[in-house]
Amino acid sequence: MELLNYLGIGFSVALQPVNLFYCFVGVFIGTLVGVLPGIGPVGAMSLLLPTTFKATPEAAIIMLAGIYYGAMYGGSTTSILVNIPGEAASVVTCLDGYQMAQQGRAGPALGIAAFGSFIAGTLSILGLMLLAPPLSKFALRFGPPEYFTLMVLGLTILIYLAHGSMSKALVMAAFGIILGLVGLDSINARPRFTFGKMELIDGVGLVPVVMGLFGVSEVLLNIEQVVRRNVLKTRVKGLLPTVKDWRDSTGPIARGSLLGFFLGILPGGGAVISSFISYAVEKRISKHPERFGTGAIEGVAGPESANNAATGGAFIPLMTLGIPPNVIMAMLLGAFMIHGVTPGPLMMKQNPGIFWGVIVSMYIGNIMLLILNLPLITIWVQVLKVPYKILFPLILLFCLIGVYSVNNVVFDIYIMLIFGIMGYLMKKFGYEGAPLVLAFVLGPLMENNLRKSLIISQGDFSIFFVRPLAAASLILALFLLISPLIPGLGKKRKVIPKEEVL
Amino acid sequence: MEKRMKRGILLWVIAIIFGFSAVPAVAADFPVKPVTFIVPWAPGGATDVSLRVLAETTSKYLGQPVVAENKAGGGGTVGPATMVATAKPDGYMVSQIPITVFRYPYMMKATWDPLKDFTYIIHLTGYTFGVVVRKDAPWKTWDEFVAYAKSNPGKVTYATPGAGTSLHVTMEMFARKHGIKWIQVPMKGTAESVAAVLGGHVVAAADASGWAPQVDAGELRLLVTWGNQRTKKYPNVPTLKELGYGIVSNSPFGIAGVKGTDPKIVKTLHDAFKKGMEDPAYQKILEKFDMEPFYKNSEDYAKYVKELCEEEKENMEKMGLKKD
Amino acid sequence: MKKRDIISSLFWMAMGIGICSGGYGLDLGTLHDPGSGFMFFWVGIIMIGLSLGIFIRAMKETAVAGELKILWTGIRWKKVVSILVALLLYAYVFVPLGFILSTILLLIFLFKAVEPQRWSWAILGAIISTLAAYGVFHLWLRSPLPKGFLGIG
Repeated sequence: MELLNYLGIGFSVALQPVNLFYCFVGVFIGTLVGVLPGIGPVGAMSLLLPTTFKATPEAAIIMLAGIYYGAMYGGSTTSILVNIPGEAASVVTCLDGYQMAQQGRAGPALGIAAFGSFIAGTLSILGLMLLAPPLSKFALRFGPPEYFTLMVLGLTILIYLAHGSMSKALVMAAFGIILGLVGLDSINARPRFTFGKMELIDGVGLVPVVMGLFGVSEVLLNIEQVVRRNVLKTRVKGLLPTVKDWRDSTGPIARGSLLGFFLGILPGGGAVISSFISYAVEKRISKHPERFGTGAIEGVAGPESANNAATGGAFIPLMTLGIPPNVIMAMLLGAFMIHGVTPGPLMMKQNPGIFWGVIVSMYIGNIMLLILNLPLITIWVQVLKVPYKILFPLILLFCLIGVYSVNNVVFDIYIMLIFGIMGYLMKKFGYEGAPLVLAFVLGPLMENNLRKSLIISQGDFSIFFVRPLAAASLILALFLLISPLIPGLGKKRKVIPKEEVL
Repeated sequence: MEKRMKRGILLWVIAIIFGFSAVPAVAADFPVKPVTFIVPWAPGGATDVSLRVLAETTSKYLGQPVVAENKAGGGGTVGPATMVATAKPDGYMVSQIPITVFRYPYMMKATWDPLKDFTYIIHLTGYTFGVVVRKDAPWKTWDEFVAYAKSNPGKVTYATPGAGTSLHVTMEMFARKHGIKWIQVPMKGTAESVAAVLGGHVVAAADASGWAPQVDAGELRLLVTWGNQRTKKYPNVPTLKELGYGIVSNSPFGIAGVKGTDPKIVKTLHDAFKKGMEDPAYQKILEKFDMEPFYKNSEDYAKYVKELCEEEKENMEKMGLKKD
Repeated sequence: MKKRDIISSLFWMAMGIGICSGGYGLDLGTLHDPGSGFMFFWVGIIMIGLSLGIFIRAMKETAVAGELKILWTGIRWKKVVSILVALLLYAYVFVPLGFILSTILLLIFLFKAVEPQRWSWAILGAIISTLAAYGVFHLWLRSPLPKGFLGIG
């Protein structure tokens, strides 16, 4: 009953007109920056942080949180429509979402992304409310060895990510790891593979890489085809998911929500990793894994739910321990502090109004987002009716300005173009981009935690086997690796020869 | 054709609606546009939060927004190094200068020279460093902790915000002096360090006052602080100095632009930042993190930098970290 | 895929060797304290192994005549090259010319390049899209786009 009490406090805070207004502003801006490539929630939040100084702490945090989960909603839009992932978390959405759009099913894809996000967002807030304290204790049990093994587990899902040759996918993964490690060594600040370039000191940016690999290369591939794009003039079939779509998506949404929520609690790329894992899980248990990559709605519903559920999970370490698990939460921590509130173990007791007010506002914000996003779908699908000869310069402009606006350096434009060319050639030579992106995200975390683990254990590798959570991850990874080989245990991976796809 | 027009017009309308917030640049003198303030750390720590507040309070007096921008990495040197490589001496880009800027050039080949590449504007404050352990750790005092480390070489692991930071350097200097072997685990910031101690993955953490919330909540125990005197917030916790170890470490820091900035512009910036420093909002946030204001004007700061560089050079030589 | 796989596997092999030697030069460290090059070196080794695998399998495949040519025939690869060159040029003049001017020029080219439209449409479309992007990103989101020698913005 205590919970009802707290909920009462929460609603009395969140329903104040002023807070409702800030909530709406937050989710609105979030949707916008989510759709725009490049400028992500971090940029928008640091831009708007000063404007919140005069507001009450509740209003400020409600708005900033709104930007964060709002951006996750919007992130899938460009992936589905034009194959431009605005951020790493929506790379997986490109795989099937863009295919759906090509078949005239952009509406259902966007629709299931919105509904999935809404359901996952709501579920993860419920989880945040009910499970925050015990889960925060659990999250602390993840130290360097646990992270390292979790990253290994993350990499094994490549098996389910790749369509074509497995060894090619692994080469891409290896390259992705290396790419992620370029820049200053996170341990001793030594420049690595920077080739004397000042711009590489900070590493290769994720946004230029994914936008080049997916967005730019897709434009190049479309332009060289004389006929291919005209096929797209196929009618846009339906704006909302059909009953069958819903039947196919219920399971993925539920599983994606769970995965996202739990992985979101852990520091690092919770949203990214959970979206990849969700995709892998759906493909693994699907009766028709060969449909994945050709426009399977499960491949959109699962990952989109996962990356939205991760936003709820990410609040747990911040609100209960005062430990931000990612950059955005760190910014929120800053916002709390500026307003004189210290997130951490004492926050629930000292500032129940803010704690519960923010949580309840997220419910309301999710409803607002659904109402905001559904009508937008009708507008978005219009984009696909624009003739390609007019659309493609705008797509390129979108990529160029988006990439530039992240760090304001021209160097990033070059990086994007290089990866655009690379993505174009990769398609010709039968390589895929998704494994590279996954490894790119995981690589630095993997290296950092491997080295930290070995420093802690003084070079003893048994640290990865004696700790139960670490060992569990390794066993699961091993199982995933060998299960396709054991008859009866798993379905054999179906390799689609690339020639047929081309 | 029509569709494109419609789309174009739609975008144009959006642009106009949102364009109203643009700031027209009319004033003749400096500053006529926003000043970028590089914060060379990941968002969220004590430095980031306090500097964001300072940017905000200073904006009031400068007449143009001061926009904080995070450029983290390399123990706080990537930001200043990037500024040196890219900024014009027009005063529109300044950066926090953490002590690592003076230290790294003596440890390795660096792309900047602290004595030549910067125009120092104003000195701000220093950190409160301290060592924390988990609440259920057996050591109640720093001396007990040190005694344990001494008799168990290689058993004590401690987290720092990075190799080569003052936290790392000071802990190793201490170890050298007292015949201790403990193991540094370099983390990326306070958040990671605190989580690692709470989860029992490392024994202790040496870090700036970002541990305060957990110490207040009783989850962590603060064994010692490294300042000149005890902190206001934790008057019961002794300092290294009073325990007789003769070490004071607080990594003082200030703000600088690139070399060759017009003295008039430097003065304008200095005056605005000084007023921003005196603003109660900034004072309050310093108090929260237990940081003491430590003001120096542009000239004194430049002199101070020379001293600091000498000091760092000596320290690095003493520790055998100096590059050949 | 025979020839393609041979080419690509040799490329990755060279890359792997480069990464390995670079990693070796960066100091491998010890198992107690792995150095900066540790991960590079081992991932490089894995890369060499994998590309060797692709290479060997490709050698066993039977060759298809004209396999490489097929990749580039019947498609408008010249358009792709011209657009890439335009984009590279754009990046090159982006700062000196400034966002507005360079973007208008690029868009006019792109509108005319693939399936030429009328000049009036191309120019008008380029100007409108550029200004719209400028409004959203520069005026509203305050992204500092370069002004160029004209000092517009």
